[in-house]
Amino acid sequence: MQVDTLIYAYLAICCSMIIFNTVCIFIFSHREKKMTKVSKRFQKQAEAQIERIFKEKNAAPRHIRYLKKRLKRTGNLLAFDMVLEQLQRENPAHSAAYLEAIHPVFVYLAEKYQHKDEIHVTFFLYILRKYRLLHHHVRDYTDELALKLIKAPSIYCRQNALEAIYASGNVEYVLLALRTIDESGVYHNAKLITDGLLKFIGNRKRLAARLWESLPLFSVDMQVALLNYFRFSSDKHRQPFLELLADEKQHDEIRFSCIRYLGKYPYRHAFPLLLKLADEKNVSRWEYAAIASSALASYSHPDTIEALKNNLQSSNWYVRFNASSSLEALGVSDHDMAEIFSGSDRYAREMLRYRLEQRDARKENEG
Amino acid sequence: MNNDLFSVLKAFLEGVNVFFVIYLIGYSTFLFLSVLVGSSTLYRRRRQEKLKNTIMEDYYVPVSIIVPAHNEEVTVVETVKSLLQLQYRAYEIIVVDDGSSDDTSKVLIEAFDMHPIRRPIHHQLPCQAEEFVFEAMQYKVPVTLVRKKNGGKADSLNMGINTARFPYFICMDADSVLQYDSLQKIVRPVLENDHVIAVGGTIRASNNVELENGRVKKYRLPKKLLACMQVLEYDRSFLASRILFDKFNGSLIISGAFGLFKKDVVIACGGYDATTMGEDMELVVKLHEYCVMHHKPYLIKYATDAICWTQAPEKLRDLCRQRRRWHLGLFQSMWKHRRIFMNLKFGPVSFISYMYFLIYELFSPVIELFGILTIVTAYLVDLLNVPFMLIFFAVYAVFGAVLSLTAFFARIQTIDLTLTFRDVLKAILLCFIESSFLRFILSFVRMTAFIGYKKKKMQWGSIERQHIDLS
Repeated sequence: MQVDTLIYAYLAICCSMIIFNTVCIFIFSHREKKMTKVSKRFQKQAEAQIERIFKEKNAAPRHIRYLKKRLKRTGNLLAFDMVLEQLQRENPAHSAAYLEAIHPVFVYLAEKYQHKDEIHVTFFLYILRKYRLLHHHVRDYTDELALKLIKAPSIYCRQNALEAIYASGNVEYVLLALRTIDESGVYHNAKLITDGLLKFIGNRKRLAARLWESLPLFSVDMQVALLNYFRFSSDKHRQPFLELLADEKQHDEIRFSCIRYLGKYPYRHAFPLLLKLADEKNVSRWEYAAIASSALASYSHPDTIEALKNNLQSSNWYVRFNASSSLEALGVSDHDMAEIFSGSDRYAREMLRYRLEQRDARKENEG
Repeated sequence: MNNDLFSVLKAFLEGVNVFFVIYLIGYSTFLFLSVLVGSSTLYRRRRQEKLKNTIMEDYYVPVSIIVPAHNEEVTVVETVKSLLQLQYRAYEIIVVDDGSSDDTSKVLIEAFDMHPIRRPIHHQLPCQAEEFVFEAMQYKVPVTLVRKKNGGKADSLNMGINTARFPYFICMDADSVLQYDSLQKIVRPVLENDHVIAVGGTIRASNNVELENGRVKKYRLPKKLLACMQVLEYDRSFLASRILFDKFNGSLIISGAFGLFKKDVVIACGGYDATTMGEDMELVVKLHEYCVMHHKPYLIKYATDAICWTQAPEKLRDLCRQRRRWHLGLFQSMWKHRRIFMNLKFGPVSFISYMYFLIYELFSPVIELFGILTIVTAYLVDLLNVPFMLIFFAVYAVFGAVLSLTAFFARIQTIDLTLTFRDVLKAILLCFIESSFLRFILSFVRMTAFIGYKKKKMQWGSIERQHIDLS
C-alpha cells in the first residue's frame, strides 16, 4: 500500500496548497484595505507638514522620525508611494518642497534597504528614480546605494539604479555607473542603455561631451550603445563620427553606427567615404554596402544616384532593398527610372517598382 | 488452467503491477512538482510586479506579427483590429492568406482599405509562391496581406517570416486576440537576456470572456462545460508544466497561438517544417537541436504574463480533431528529432523534457491501453483486487483534480481576476469531471490518432469559428 500512501501524501500537500491559496486571497484583500488606511494616515501627515514647510522652512523632527520608523517596511513604502504620486500629480511645487524637506528620511532608508532582499531594494531604487531623490550636488548615501547596485545580479535592480542615476541629472554619476556596469561584465541590453540615456534629466550637452571623451574607455558593445545614443540625441558630432568611421581599425559594429549617424545627420565631408563604402564589393562585407546605401538617402547628388543604381543590381537582397529605399527617398528622375525599367535586371526593377508604388500609396493617403 | 501457465501469468501481472506503480509515481511526482513550482513562480512574479521589479514599459524591440489565415473570413478582421489596438510602438502586422476558398483576403482589403503593391519578398525560407500583396500604411503600424497558394500553416508562417521586416517575429492564430500589453510582456525576456531566441506566451480560453480593446472587461468561465474543462486543463498545462520546464531551459513547446522568435536563428535552422502537423512544437525542438549541435548559447523562455485569448473548441468533435492533430504533431516532432533521445549533449532537455513527452505524452495512450488489457486479463483469471483498483483510480482522479484546482486558483489570484461564487463551484465540480472522464476520452482519441494518419497530412486544423466581439 505504499503507492496510495504516497498519493494520499500528495493529496494532503495539494489540499494545503488550496488552503494556502484561499488564505492568500484573504491576505491580499486585507493588505489592500490596510494599505489604503495607511496611505490615508500618511496623506494627513504630509498635508500638515507641507503647511509647516511653507511657514517654518522645515519638516517637524517628529514627522521625520515617524517616517524613518514606518518606511523601513516595504508595505508602508508602497502606501507612501501612493501619497507622493497623488501629491506630485495635484501640486508639483508642494511635492518638491515636501520631498526636499524629508530627504534625510531617504538617506536613512538607503542604509536600511541595502541589507534587504533585492526585490525590496529594487523597489526603493524605483522610489529614488520616480521622485528624483538622488541629489546632483551633494553626494550622500542614496547615491552610494544606487552606484553600488549598478552591478547587482538582478536586471531589475540594475535598471532601476541606472534610471535613478539618470533622473539625478548628475553627469559624473552617469559616467561612473556606465563604467561600473561595463567593467562588471554583466549583460545589460544595449537598447536599455541607449534608450535609458535619453531619459537623462540634466545638462545633456555636458553629458554628451563627457561620454565622447570617455568613449575609448568602454567595451565595443557599450561604445555601440553610446554611439546609438548620440544618433538619437545630437547632431553635433559629425566630424568625430567621420573620424571614427575613417579609422579602419575600429570594430565593424562601431563603424556601422557611424554610418547610421552620418546618414541621419548629413555631413559634406563624409560623402566620398560613404560612396566608397556603398561600393563595397567584398561579399563578406555586404553590411557596409547595405548600411551606406541607406545612409546615402540624405546625400542628394548625381554620384549618389549612380551608386544606388549600381547597388540595385547587387547580389545581396539587403543592399538592393536599402538602395531602392534611398532612391525613392531621393526622388528618382524619369530618366533614371526609364533606364532601370528597361534594364535586364529583374531584381532592380522589382525593388524600385515596389518603392514607387509605396510612395504613390502614401501620397494617396495623405491626399 | 495449467499451473505453470498460471504462475507465468501471475509473475507477468506482478511485473506489470510494478511497472505501473513506477509509472504513476513518476507522473504524480512530475505533476506535483510542476504545480508547486508553477504556483510559487506566479506568486513571486506578482510580488515582483507590485514592487516594480520589472523593466519599464517604454523600451521596445521591433517585432513583426505574423497571422497565418485559412478560411478565416469570420474572425480575421476583428483579429487585425485588435492587433492595431496593442499598447506597443514598434511592430508590423502581416496576414498570410493561405489560399483560402472563402473571402479572407477580400474582407481584409475592404475593411482596411488596402492597396495592391508589388512587393519583392526575400525568400529565405521555402514556401509556396505569393499570388498578390496588399498593404495599408495609414494606420498606427503597417498592415500587409500576402495571399499565396495553399501550402498549410507552416508554409504560411515561412512566408510571413520571409515578408517580415523586423529581427523578431510573433506567430499567432487568426482567431486569437492578444491582450493589450502582451507585446510588452513577451519581449521582456529578450531585453533581459541576449541569449533568448524564443519566448512562449500564455494561451487562455476566450469563450464567455468580454474583452474591450484587448482588456478583460468581464471574466466568466465558459458556459459550455467542455470549454470550461479546457480552461482548467490549459491552466494546469501552461502555468504548471511549462513553468517547470522553463526553469531549466527545457520547454519543448511554444504554442502556435502566441510565441515570439528571433528571426535569424529560425531562418538558420530552416524555419517551420511544412511536412509536420505540429509545426509549433517541431520548430522549438529543432531550435534546441540546432543551438546545441552548433554550440550556440540559447534560452527558450516562457512569459506567464504575456496573454493571448483564443477560442477553445466547444464541440467534442472539434476537440477530438484538435487533440488528434496535436498528438500526431508530437509524434512527428519526436521522431524527427530522435537524436535528442538519451543524448548527454542535450542535458535536461533530453533526460527530462524529451523523456517526459515520450513516456507521458506520446506513449501514454499505448501504456494506458496496455493497462486496460492487463486489468481485463487479471479480472478474467481472478487476480484482480477490485476494491483496491477502484480506490486507486478514485484517489488518482482526486489527485489530478486537486492539482488542476491549485493551478487554476493560483492563476486567478495572481492576475487579478475575480470569480463569482458560481464559477468557483463550477471549477471545483468540473475539475473532477475533467480528471475522471475527459482525460480518458482524450486518451482514446490519442490512441486512435494514427488511424488514417497519412491522408490527413498538411491540413489546417480548424474548429467552428465564432465572431470575436471586441465591443
